[in-house]
Amino acid sequence: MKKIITKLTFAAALAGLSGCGELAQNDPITVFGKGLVAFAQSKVDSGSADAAATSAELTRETIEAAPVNLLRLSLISQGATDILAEAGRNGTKVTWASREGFGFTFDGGLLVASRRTGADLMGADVSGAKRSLSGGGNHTRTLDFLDGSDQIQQITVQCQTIVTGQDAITIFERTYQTSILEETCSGAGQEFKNTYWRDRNGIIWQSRQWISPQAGYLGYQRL
Amino acid sequence: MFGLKNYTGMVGLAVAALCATPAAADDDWRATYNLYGTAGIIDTPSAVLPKDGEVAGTLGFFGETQRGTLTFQLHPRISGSFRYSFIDTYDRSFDLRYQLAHEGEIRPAIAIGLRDFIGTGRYSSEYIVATKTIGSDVRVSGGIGWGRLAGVGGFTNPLGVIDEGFETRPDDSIATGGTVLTGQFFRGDAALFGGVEWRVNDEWTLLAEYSSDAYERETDRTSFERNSPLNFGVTWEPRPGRQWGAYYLYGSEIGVSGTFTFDPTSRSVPSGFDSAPLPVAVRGQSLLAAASWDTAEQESGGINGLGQVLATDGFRLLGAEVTGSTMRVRYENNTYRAEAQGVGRVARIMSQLAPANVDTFILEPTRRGIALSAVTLRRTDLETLENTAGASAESLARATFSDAAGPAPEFSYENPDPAFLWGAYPYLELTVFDGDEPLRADVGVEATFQYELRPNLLLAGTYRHRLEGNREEVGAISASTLPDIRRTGLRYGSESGGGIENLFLSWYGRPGRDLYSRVSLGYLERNFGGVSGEVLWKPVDSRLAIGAELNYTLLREFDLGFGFRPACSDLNCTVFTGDNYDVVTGHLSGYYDFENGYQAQVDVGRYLAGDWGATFSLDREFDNGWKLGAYVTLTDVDFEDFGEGSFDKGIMLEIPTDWTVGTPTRDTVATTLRSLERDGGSRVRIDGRLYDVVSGGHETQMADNWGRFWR
Repeated sequence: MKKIITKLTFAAALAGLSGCGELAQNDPITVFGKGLVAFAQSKVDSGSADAAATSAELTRETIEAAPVNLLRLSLISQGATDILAEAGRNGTKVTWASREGFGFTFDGGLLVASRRTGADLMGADVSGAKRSLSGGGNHTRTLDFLDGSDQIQQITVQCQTIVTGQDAITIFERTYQTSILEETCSGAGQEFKNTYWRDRNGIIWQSRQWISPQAGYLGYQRL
Repeated sequence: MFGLKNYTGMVGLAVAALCATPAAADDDWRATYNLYGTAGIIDTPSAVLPKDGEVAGTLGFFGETQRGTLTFQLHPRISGSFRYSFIDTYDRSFDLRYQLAHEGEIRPAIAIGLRDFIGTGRYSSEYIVATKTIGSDVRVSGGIGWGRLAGVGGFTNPLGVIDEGFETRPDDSIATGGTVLTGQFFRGDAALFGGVEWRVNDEWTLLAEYSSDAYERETDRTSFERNSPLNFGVTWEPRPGRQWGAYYLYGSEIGVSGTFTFDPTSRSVPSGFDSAPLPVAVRGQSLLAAASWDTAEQESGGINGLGQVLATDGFRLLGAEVTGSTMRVRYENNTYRAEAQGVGRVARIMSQLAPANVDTFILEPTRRGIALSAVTLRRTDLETLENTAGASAESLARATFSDAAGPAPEFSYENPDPAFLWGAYPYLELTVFDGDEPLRADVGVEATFQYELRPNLLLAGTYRHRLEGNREEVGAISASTLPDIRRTGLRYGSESGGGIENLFLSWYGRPGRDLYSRVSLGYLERNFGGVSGEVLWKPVDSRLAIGAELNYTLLREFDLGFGFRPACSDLNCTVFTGDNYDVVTGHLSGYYDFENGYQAQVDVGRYLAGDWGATFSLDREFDNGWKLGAYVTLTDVDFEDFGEGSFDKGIMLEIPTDWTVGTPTRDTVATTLRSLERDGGSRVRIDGRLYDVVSGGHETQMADNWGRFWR
């Protein structure tokens, strides 16, 4: 938080110096001013206060009335929650987008890509993980990350999925009978554990999944 | 001298310092930076090797001595430093260091270095040093030094065994400095130096050393007292990349230093805060796309839709057409540093809007209104590769690059944005060391505009007005027999308090396959106005480019108005008589983009003082846009006539703004640190030379950034 404040103060100081007109955008002082404001804003925006307000307005009625499918998603390390809308489908993969410009793609409920988290998962092979969801099993996952030099860093991790229990979860007045599955992965210096709440039809209603080393975990509920 | 450009460079560094998560968090014990701003202990060097690409900025103070140093690890084994110091007078110096050996189980790390090897040689010294890590927290260094590093405890040069000539160190530095002092290297007496670093914990390190530097010059000319060869110090590294040092030096002085290091290859937000792209729409699933563009109505509706969607994502559509099953789009990327990212995003937007019968996309990114390349992508590949592992490499393998010199797409898009753009913002102009005052500064308002007559024909200008400052008086102008091309630069706008910085028309074209052209006309820069023409040959998949430039320019009046003036006719530039100074300059240029990230450029031709010669530049460009480079210009102007520095040379640093702020932008912050700017070896400063405009949109650079294609 202290870091954000320093940045905000600095940005504000610069913003005081900033110019006007479209071309002032090219002025380095203005650019840095704006960039930092945007940066800090993104942190503040994703703060839980804002997101809580969004969720508070949500009811089963508004969910049903919405023209598109909705997803409630949290970036756990940032304590931020937002409602995402379905933005596209490509085969079994569904992409969800938020107003702030975040994007997440899930293949059968498993994360295969994130956008705008700062350290994105660029793409993934989760075919093994999908198979292990029916009752458990061992598999590998291949994950692509983008590094600070614009290069793709691909890692392969070894994973095991086990059923750890049963749970009835309620999401906005609806209750689902689910199995809880835990997928533990390690390799290439990384270790993470994903948890899925999956119903008899194979729909993952709730989950906690790893995005990348820097971005940490996300949690979602299908609405 | 240090103008606004340098200042903004420094702002860039300062902001980078605030935002960046510096450097690798690996467990290795990183180099300590000494008071010279190079890897070392306190005042002596060590053989510890900084991380490849690392950039370190150091300020060091003790007694009256002040040193500001930028050190670049230019290559896994080579580092270079540029230093600006106050000894008894201000002085610039360059260092080079080569890593002879890496540390092994038993073998120490060994480095050989030249300190102040071109210039007036006030810090001139050479050394060979070895460093061994003992246990995990102690490093011991010892070396042999020549020149200043043989000031105390010197003995006859052991290299005398090879040749007796090594035993005496000639004083062959010429008064103006700037020449490589090869005649002195490793000559004269030698002496031993050494020291110890003890890492107490992750943050604190204790230092002790024996320095063989006698500090003769400082003792003679300043109040410096050298009572002991022993120095002691402590460094504090509160977080990686920030090093603060405090020292007790030479038995008499207290010293402090601060070093910020940056690792251009890492970034605090590796993939950036760019908003998510539109996903790929699989054919038949998009609600936006028309079934076909068979009628003119469907086509114009489709193009309008495409233009609007592209605009929301920071692109400007210039034109589009559908021919058979191929859709071709020409656009300008105004937002994303990497052209490859632009290609990826535009292709996804096309997948949303292209009629279902289209199976091939041709994307033509442009800069300054000219098409740079044609990237052909298959729609099926986008659909099948999206969000898969290995998608980036696979999509690059399936993309084809070709020249885009052909005609514009059939339907042009009427851009609703205004063609006239303007801006106004504050500026700060610093003038350092003009002879009388160490620092002069102006603060004022800068206003700029551009009017796009056509995408490739632009009228642009910048005007400055001083609000406050003390730059109206100009100190001494150094004497020279050359026409005053740059050395009277301080006088520009100093009395008038501002004026027209530039006002010009530029026209870009594609005269043929692999060919690019530019014509600029007007007040091209602060000191010169005239006309400039350039042609560049660069095939889209070639690492080699060849260019030619021809300019006719006149010297501008000091008041930054519309007038021109004669060059001064006396040594100290008080008399300006005769005809206006005009000159024809021009260069043949060769560019080569090596596969390992190095770029070489050679320019041969005539410079503004009428001198003939060549400029050699070598840049290291990281894939994320960071650039470090060095250049040297040698012309037929005598070193004596050139004046201080003997010839023009410098170090260049360019930082992409998106690396610093995390959000997408094409802006960069660049700064050039050079020896004093003089009249020889100077070229007209032209906005938008062709190679810089073109190369980012060609295959080699796009391939380097293809990791961002799906970003």
